[in-house]
Amino acid sequence: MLSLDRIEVLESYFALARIGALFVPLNHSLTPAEVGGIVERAGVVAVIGEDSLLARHPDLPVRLRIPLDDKEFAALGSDGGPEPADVPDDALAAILHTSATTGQAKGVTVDHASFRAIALGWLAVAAPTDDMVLVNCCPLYHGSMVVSLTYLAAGATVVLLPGFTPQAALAAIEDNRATHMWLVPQMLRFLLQAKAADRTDLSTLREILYGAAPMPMDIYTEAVRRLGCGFRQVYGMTEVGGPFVTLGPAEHPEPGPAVQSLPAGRVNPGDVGAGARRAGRGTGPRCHRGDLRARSRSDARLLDNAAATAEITTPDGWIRTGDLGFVDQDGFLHLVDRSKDLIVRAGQNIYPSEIERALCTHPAVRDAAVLGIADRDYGEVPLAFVAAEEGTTAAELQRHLADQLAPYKRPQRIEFVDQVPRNPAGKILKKLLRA
Amino acid sequence: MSAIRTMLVELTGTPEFADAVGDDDDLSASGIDSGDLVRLVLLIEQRTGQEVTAQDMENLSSIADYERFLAERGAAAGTGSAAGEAS
Repeated sequence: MLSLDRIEVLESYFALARIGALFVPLNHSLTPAEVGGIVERAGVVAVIGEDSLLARHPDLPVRLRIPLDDKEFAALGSDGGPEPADVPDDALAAILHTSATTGQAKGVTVDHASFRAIALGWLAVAAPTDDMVLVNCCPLYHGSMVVSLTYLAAGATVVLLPGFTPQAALAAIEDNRATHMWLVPQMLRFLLQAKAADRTDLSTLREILYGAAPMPMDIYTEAVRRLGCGFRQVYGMTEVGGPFVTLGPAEHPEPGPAVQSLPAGRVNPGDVGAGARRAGRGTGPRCHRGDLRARSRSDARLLDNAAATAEITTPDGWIRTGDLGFVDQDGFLHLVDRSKDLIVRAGQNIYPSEIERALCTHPAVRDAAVLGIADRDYGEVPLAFVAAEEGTTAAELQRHLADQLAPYKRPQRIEFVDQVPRNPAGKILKKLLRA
Repeated sequence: MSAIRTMLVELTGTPEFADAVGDDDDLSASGIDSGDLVRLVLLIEQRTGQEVTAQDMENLSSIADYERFLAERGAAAGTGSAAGEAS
């Protein structure tokens, strides 16, 4: 599926599930090389897409290209379609992709049982109902699309935006008398900055759902003051099947000097679990600060990559989230840091090693190191340090990266250094670069 | 360099927007991140003091579109030099 968010994307997901086929949503901002790699590794046989996006990827190795804007697509299913296939619970429903250290997007296989377990947990705790109208600002190719599916399961109305802009999101709330909105915190900052926010009728909003990145306290404070609605945090992981932890409106503290951060929330009921493990101390349910791990209805599986699967799972079936934190005495999960080298830019994960590898393919680059730096608008952005031959310019390297990496992955800034500091084992000493 | 090009270089850190992207090229297909286009619109609102609506944005896709829009809004706001301020 290669499309901006629109109703046909959701229709296709359900139609594919009905016939027992897997849907593979693709991030449309990826380069042709990145998309081509995913299509090949996932064994995609057909691509459904918007004309402009299909035109941007003319050489995908697929048997069938199905334009979404074609009359034939609109006519599909008008005769009732085929009988539903007999799909067992453990059959795969989707392959979702996230960034990976290897530089190749990581395909996560999710089965029907996982989707259902996540949806049931969400239905139990967030209790969506059919009178709700959710404006979905997040891309449907992301693991977070499970949130929208859950509201649909409750009979609620979901409003899709073909790409987020604060102006379009505000208009969608007013036009549809939306009760709920789902976004990442950085989108909320943009929304509050837009001039339209002052004159838009937001009185119907009951709850803002946010996730995929930490909520900066200045955004939370301003949003509480100006919007006057409830807030619900969403924490999840594609490998677990979607969102499995939430902090509900009644659990959100009043903003104030004493509130420095928000907990991620409590684990949803059902077939999921989460805990924190401190090395050598076993999996502890209470206040053991350590690696946060989760487990779901089904084992996490990474597409054709047993080594990578083993890397994120423990022998007893827990999935390493890559976050460090603890569970407090009331069962609230708190995130304090990350154990993996990852940059989260406005909710999108970027592995520094992916950028470093791309930089090092430039013939003038001897070595490169990338780290995340704080950014007011995006939360974090990549900053690159490059050791290169004299005369190499940042513009030249940015041009080189443009062919290999999607725009959101490119460094905000490139700085030249004589040498990238490494320890005797060759590991980059990022602490020295941060200094 | 025009005001919009200056803003794009400032927002993206990518010097290509100074001259390598054509006036009439579709910006979203020119390698700009969608978040940076959002920030461009917010910056225009900030500099002109005027709202950009969702409807206005339907007609904004190239540097030339944004330049025209900025000139019109700058004039309407009595800040005809808005474009110049940024360059």
